[in-house]
Amino acid sequence: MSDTRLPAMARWVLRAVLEGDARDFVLGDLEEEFRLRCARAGRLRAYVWCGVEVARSVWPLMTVSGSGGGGRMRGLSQDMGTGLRVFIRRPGFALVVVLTLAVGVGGATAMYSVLRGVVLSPMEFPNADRVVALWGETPDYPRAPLTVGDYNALREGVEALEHVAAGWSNSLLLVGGERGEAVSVGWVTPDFFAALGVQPTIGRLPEAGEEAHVVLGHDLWVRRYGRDPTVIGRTVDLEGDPFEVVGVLPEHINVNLTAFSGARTNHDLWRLMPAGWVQGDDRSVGWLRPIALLAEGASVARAREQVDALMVAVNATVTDRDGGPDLRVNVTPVRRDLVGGVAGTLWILLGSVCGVLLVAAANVAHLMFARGEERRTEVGVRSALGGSRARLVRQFLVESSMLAAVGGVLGLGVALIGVRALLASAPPTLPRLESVSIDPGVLLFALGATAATVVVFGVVPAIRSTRSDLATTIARGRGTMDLRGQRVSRWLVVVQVALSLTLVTGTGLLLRSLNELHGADLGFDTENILTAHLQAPDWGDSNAEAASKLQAFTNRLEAEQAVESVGFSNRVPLGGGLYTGTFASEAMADAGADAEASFRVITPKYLETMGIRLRAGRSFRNDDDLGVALVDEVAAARAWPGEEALGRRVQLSSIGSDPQWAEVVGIVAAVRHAGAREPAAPTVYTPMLPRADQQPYRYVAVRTSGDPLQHLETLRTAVQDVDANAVLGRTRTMAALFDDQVAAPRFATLLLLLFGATALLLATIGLHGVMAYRMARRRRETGIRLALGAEPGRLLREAFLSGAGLVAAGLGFGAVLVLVGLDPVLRALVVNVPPADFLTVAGASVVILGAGLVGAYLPARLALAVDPVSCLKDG
Amino acid sequence: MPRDSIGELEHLILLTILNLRDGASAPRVREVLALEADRRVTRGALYRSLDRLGEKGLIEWSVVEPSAERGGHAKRFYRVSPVGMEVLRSRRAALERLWAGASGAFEG
Repeated sequence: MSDTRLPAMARWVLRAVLEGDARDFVLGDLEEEFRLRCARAGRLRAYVWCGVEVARSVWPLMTVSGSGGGGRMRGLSQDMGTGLRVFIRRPGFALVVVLTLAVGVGGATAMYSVLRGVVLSPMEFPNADRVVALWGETPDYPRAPLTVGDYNALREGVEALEHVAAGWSNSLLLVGGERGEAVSVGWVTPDFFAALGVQPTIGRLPEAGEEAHVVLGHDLWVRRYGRDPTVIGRTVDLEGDPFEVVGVLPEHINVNLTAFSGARTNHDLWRLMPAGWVQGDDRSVGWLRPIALLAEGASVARAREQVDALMVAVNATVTDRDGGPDLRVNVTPVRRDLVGGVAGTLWILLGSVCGVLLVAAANVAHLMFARGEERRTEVGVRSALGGSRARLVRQFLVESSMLAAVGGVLGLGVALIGVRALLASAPPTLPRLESVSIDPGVLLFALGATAATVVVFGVVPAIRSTRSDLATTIARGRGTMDLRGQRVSRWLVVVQVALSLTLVTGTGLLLRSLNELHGADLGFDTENILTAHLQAPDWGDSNAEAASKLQAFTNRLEAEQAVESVGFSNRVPLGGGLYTGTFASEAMADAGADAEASFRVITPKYLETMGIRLRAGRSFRNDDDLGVALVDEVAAARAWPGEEALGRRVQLSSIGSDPQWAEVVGIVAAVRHAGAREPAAPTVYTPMLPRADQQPYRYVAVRTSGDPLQHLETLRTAVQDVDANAVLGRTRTMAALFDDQVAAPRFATLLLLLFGATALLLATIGLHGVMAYRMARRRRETGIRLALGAEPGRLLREAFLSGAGLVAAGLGFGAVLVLVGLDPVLRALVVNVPPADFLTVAGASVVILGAGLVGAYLPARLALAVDPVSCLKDG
Repeated sequence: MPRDSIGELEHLILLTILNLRDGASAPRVREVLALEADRRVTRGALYRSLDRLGEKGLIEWSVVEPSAERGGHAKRFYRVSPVGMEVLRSRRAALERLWAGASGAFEG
């Protein structure tokens, strides 16, 4: 019959929650029914049935009082009442436990909410799991747009991909109504919406060939047309061309899948690209951002294999391509493509906050454990009066559950506030913030974290505390703590110190890295400069007219009192966007070599306005033609290493135009156009005025005497004085652009600073608790030694050293964690600081050592303040 | 709570015990409750109710010695105590009075 005995787990659980006669007959009933089930339905089913029966009955059984004998005990509400009295007697203890739990659980929940919203939650359009981004990768550009030729090769040659579509975007003037408005326009191929599976909320999508039709984004529909459904069929004016509105996209769906330069703006308008733009096999300019839908049943891996094979074949036939002949096309699931950059940071932050939760749990465990030890006498007396071990464990469990419940509820409050604070301080480049909220999944996480903490700090100390009987408890008196208990306490402190060292070191490294970012010489000024995209529908019919208009804008803006200088450029630093070409010295050209450079087309006062330093020679003049150029130090060193570049001839070739020779009339300081994380790229400057009519982008930079945003309206009016339809779009101060650059690392640093400080505080409280507890336990021993003439200084040193030893062990353990765990994790986050930076680790160790020693010293001092006579009497 | 105050489940359990006469073990009570009254209660809830009825003195039990089929555990058979019988009687009288007054609602 032994094979049909009640499962051991069921016996164990029922024994733990019941006692006396009640336990006997409940176990008997279950065993009898279990055997019947085994005979009728087989052992497996009987096991499952038994598991469900026990699980469903545990809670009600806990409130069953025992048998009718002498062991009748109080019910659950009485347990709770007892717990409440215990907490009221020692409010400090309950408060520390509850607050520690709230901080740990709340912090972890808040961070998990952000991670879930940004990284884990499903994307807002139907085919999100099957849509992939197709970015080019060359040795110089890891994420390059594709050329028309390569796009068409992908459309035709990959079986695992269907609906290969492409997008591009720009900003256009929406004219009409009271005021023109610069709108962000997404240009897509006809397959684009089919690939995403998105349908308009009203109207329809444009069909292939409908190039004079547009779909409105939901925001523009609300902002400009007040949700008017009759907008369908209406004609809108985009820089003079009429377009018919055929549909409106749904709310909360951002179908712009390409976060190309930082923030992922949701376009205001969508239209089809003219078919001629994407026909043929032109490879001179990479500008398309393709996406594709994985064919039914196809995996990303298969698509990668097929795309790789295709590109090997295509590369073999290509001699001239933007970015070089060796092009790889990366197939990346669109979600990873969008959030890949921040997912790592968010996981690190979640890891850190879980570290804090662990430190918090260790603290609580220790406090509960110490309480359990402290209550041994009470437990011993209750056992002697007939309280069974199960009953006492239940009492402890109920107390822990009460603390955990209050801590969990408070933690949820902390999480709600935390999520709001995180959203308020999140960098603008963090995608998908709109998906962040505390939701049932997050709530489950919080409850799981709380439950885990209860198990750690409630059950284990409870079982340990009830293991003793009255005789041993009284025999040991209140003098000493058992060895095993001491070992557990010490380990908890060592783990806390180690985790704190890891967090504090991580914080230190990020702080240093942030400092490096702030202090880096970018090569231009960031204060008192406003940049904007100046758009006007009409620039005249000739270059002379365009140049004259550009000059008119410059003069009118400079006439404002607050304006110090004005310059134009095709791109502004930190503003994103690429415009590259090649350059060659005479020697390089003779050898058939060239080098790639960023091309900036500027007006004479641009350098002065941006604070870009001229190292030698001069800037442009109004009467310069295309025969002159400026090069920066990096380009000069590349083309004329170790030689004077000024006065040399340089051959310039931008994509789509013939090579042209120019004289280098000035050398410019290196500029980090892409920010402090990227090294300065070689840059060539050419004059804008001789080609004023050919510029797709004209950014204006305005240096003002104070905060430029205060003069924004004046500047807008000035621009409209020259052309009533002209608009200043994408107005950003250089300070704000720089701020965007450091926003993400600052966000991570601030959070880690908060987590590190919390962990340090908790660890210090933990150490103080351990030491104070040990000192209190050894009060009698200390009293006897003092009475026998022991030197107080020696006792203090001993006590202090035992605490310091724990801190030292924690630091050693933590140093290993830093080297093994932190180094690879933080490598991607820090700039110009080695992740295992000795100075930072040493600094963090000193901080923790200081805090730890305070935590060890204070209780040691207290212990010596004992009066030998009183503690001998107590004992 | 007064001794004779019983909830609906306790009422049903007392009646079930009477129905089962000498064979009222906890598993049988649970079975009959499900079959006759369509009340499915968890094992824990049933023991808790029996426990309460015992505390109120409404039921008594006899213990059968441990057997091998029960893993060496004893078994209880419940019966309604005289006090329990009194409570049931008064409950029944109250119900009958109320039904008599309410029967008009079911006519026609």
